[in-house]
Amino acid sequence: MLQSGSMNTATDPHPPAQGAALLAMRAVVKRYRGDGRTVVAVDEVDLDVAAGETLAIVGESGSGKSTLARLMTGLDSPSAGSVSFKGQPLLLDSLARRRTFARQVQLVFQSASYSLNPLKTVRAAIEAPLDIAGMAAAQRDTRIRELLDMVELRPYDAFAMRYPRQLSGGQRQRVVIARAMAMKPELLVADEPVSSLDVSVRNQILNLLLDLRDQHRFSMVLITHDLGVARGMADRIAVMRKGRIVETGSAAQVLEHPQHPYTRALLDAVPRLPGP
Amino acid sequence: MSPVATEVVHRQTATDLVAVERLSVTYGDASGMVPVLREVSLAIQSGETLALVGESGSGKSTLARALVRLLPRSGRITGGSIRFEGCEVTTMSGRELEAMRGARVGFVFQDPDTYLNPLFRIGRQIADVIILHQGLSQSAAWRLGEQQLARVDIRDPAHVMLAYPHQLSGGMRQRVLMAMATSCGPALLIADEPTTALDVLVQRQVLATLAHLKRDSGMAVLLVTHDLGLVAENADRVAVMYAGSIVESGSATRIFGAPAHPYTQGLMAAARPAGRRFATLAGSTPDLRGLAPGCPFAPRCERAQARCGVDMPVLTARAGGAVACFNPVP
Repeated sequence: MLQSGSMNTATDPHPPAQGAALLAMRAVVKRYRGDGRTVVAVDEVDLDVAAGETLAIVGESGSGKSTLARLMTGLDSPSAGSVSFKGQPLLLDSLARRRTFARQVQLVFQSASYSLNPLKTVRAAIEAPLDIAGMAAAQRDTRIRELLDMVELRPYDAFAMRYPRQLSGGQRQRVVIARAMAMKPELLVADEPVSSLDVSVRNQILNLLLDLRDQHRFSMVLITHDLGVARGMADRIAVMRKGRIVETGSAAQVLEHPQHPYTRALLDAVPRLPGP
Repeated sequence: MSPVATEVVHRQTATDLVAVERLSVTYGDASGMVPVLREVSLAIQSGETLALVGESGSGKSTLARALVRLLPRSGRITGGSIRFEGCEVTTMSGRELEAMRGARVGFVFQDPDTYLNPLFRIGRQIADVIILHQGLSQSAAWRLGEQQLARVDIRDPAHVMLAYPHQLSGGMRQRVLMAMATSCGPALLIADEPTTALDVLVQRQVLATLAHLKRDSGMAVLLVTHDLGLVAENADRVAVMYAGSIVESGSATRIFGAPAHPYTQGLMAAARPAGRRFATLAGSTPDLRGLAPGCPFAPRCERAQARCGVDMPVLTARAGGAVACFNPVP
């Protein structure tokens, strides 16, 4: 049982941390202040990510799912509650700790255009994390070649010295993924990694993520508004609404036997293709 | 083994609201001319919903905008004809175009914020459109505006008339645009990705409003979208675009039941729920600047034959529609 904070475990809103949990969030709250009012983006969330699993967090815009991604990756700290990684509280109060954590957890954003520096070549983008980690130049070169090969940007010479604007949307997202893989993360958090891509390219990127996950055995948290993406990628699904997780369960259970009315409404609203 | 190809070119018939024949559009920039539409032929019947589907760069938005000559500054119609209600659009004067746009053809685009002025109340913006096209008085236009908001399922129209755009949700703003676009009772509504920016629950509501607007008014709808599920639920007929051409058209039932073009088939497979892996189309859409001869889909096509790399297939009649392919899916 890894479900937490769901309808199914409503009687036990704060289950103890599981031994297998790679990342654990307990009673996490995130408030933002602005315009003289306070917005509760994440409201008392309990969530575990088990080692090796892919968890999809689905919800509409404003549900708090991207804030949750930022909290998981240490880009933001919670207003209340705790986030722990491998049983240790996530304390990013020193550069050394932040660097150690950054090796283990990587975030892939929605728009590769925003997360790549337009003035840096593909090679430079991927080299940066290796450089920060103190890798020697010769090793860096080998690793960059490996990484580009891993995300199927081949041959090396055709891509290494290109700038983001010289790449297609799908190719840019591959560069972002290669950069995220550079430090061999244990957890990859992908926030709407394909939502700006056309369907044929979208599926290539999703398959690449599936292949990388199977080969490198990292855990994945996939933030998405697309239930079809969640269906194809996730072992488990958490449904978010207004900062709360309203339902969690295995992907099959949530999609085939949704318990919460909101989950049902979401599933019903997705336009369907008739069968072939 | 292809049948003798008889190109389908839509000669305008009595029920055709729009007839596009061999329309070509190019975009010019510093690096040269790019053919964005290549001899596209298409008809829209009165009262039907025709979905124009394709991936980005396929030309679907360009086609929708070309129908009312709302191309960006760099775009030019280089050939072909567009007839709307029997009148040639490609040679219309500025005044004739103004009279057609807004009054006979309404538009709703993906991003309502681009088309609503943040500085004016909703009521003033709707009233202005009505005054421009129908010559009503200020107060009559205001009353009609309120009725229009009620028609797009806005519950408190009087209140919304007094609101500024930023005070409304994305779904509400899109409804307001739909009210403006249909306030003069157009014969055609062009809806270009009208719900792409909306969440799925709001999308469903906005589409329901669009459906009943259409039912009440009998207007035709040109629905431009990349979302095949949305097409399946909302369109009577479908035209699939790829690299500036229509590669397949037909009734929605036929296209979804038995896609004939390998590209259509690939798109559908990619949009269906994934099993162990997601279905993909190999490669990516071609660069329109340097299109090789032959079928633009050939380099990605599993059914391609020698001929496909040489000749460009034209839309050819086929049961329930038309397909531009030398080796269609049987």
